[in-house]
Amino acid sequence: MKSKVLVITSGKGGVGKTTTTANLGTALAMLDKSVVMVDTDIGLRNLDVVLGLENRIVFDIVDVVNGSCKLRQALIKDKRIESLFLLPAAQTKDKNAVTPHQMKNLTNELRKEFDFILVDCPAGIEQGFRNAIAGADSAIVVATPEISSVRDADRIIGLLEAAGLYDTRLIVNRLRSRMVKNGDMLDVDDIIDILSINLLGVVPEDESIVISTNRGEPAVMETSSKAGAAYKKIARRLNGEEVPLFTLEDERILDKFRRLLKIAR
Amino acid sequence: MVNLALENVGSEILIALKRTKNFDELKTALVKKINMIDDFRLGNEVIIDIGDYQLTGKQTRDLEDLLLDYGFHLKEIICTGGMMDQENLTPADDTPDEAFAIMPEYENTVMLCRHLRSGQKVFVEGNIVILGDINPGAEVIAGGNILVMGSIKGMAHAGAFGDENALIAAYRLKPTQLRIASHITRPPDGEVIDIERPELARIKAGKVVIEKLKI
Amino acid sequence: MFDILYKIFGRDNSSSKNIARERLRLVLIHDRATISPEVLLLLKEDLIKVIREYLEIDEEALLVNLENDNDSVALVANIPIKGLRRAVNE
Repeated sequence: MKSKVLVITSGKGGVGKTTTTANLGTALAMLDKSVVMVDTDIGLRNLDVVLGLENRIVFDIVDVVNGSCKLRQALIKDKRIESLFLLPAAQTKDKNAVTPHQMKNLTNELRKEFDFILVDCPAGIEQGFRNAIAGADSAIVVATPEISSVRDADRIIGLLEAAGLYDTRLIVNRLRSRMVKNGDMLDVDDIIDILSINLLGVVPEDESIVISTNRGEPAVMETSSKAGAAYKKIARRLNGEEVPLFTLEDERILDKFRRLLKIAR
Repeated sequence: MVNLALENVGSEILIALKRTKNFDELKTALVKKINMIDDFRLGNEVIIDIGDYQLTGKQTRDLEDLLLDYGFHLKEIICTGGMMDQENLTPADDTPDEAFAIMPEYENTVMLCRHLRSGQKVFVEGNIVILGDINPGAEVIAGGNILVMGSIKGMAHAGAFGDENALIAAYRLKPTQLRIASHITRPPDGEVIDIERPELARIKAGKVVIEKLKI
Repeated sequence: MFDILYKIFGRDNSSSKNIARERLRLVLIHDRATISPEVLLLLKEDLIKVIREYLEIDEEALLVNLENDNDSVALVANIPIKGLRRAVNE
């Protein structure tokens, strides 16, 4: 299988890029793929904490591109899944320590070893963003159903196109089905209609994400997590399977059942 | 150079006379120290720490007489420098006391009175004393020892030039990672154990070990 | 009265989702109309090339900008002219 370099980006901060990277990486590794997650947020690294690997970091991405260490030395093996690795960002170095050219070389190096290379992009559209997308085959844009997030997603899609990345797919994150039903939140169709790109998946708002982040264990490892289940579906899609999208209809049918049960009682 | 430390250990008086070159210098230093002792402590027992110096039996008796002249009793003579030859000496147990004895001495000590936050990095060639915390994501790297009067929650690297005797001591030791010379450790996975007391990290038998801080 | 009815049935056009969608549409029209500085620079160079054939212009003082005005976007160019080239029929 030809390896894929996917950059996970959003423009706006706080929409769940890092959570998405951690969960998709873990879910793909659970499908027996070899996966490396690359944190490119130099100076504000987070992926290591979300994965619970923060205390294993010795070398980071800046050390690798500087040649201070070998790529293998900087890769951190996940403590739960054999085929999952993290290349951490530097926390105490300058964010301009890496160039897009170096990043491209790095991803090409990683292609030799891994099926999936997931690049977690920093918020913003500066150097960090340009680095993150440099070696990517395609991009995944994460947006929440809020005006500000969708607007930034639109800007990012434009910048990705300008950089030659046309196969951008969208993950709508933190959708609250109840609010959508009441007409108080942009629904997935609205967002797709406005951004006119392909939908990769929808992840519902889920408190279990907070709990799994606290623990440093991605939600996909938790069988009862709604968001975790959604990420697993997306991972299967990335792996080339046809998986139906999460829709509100699913919830509505469940609601009907619940109502029927209530009446029966 | 004569190190003139003077400490009270209960009713006993500890006199440190480290790095004296000959017996005369040691005696002069002792007299100087004794003159500094308050009169109301007359008659108390004295422990003398002579560091690396080795005394003959006669010299020991000389010191005993000298102390008696000033009204003190010699309780014991200890050599924290490692070479010890005294019969009435308590055996050096494996406690940090010994760790302090072999602790490397560096010329420069930097004192820092603030919290180090994520992304901040401090590097000193000698020792560093921090009155504040090292937060997660912050790094402190010292050629010598690291002492933190606060919590180490981030990364601390002592003996960065390869000194395996370097120490890391903190009021609360909850690091993401500790490094001494070329050794790297991290807390074990699983549940977090909160130890609410000062601790000391050092290399013992090729491994970084963490002990209760005893001074 | 109708307001209350609308609120009860909860399917009116002023639901916050619809407000959001409309605002987003307008914002994006404006966002998408902006051209990156690089493109603007290229446009400026091409403009100079064309105009130079007919007019003598102050290339340094030439200003090209996109201006947003409510619902429309205009390309505004300020081109100081130094002199007219004499029309020469060859």
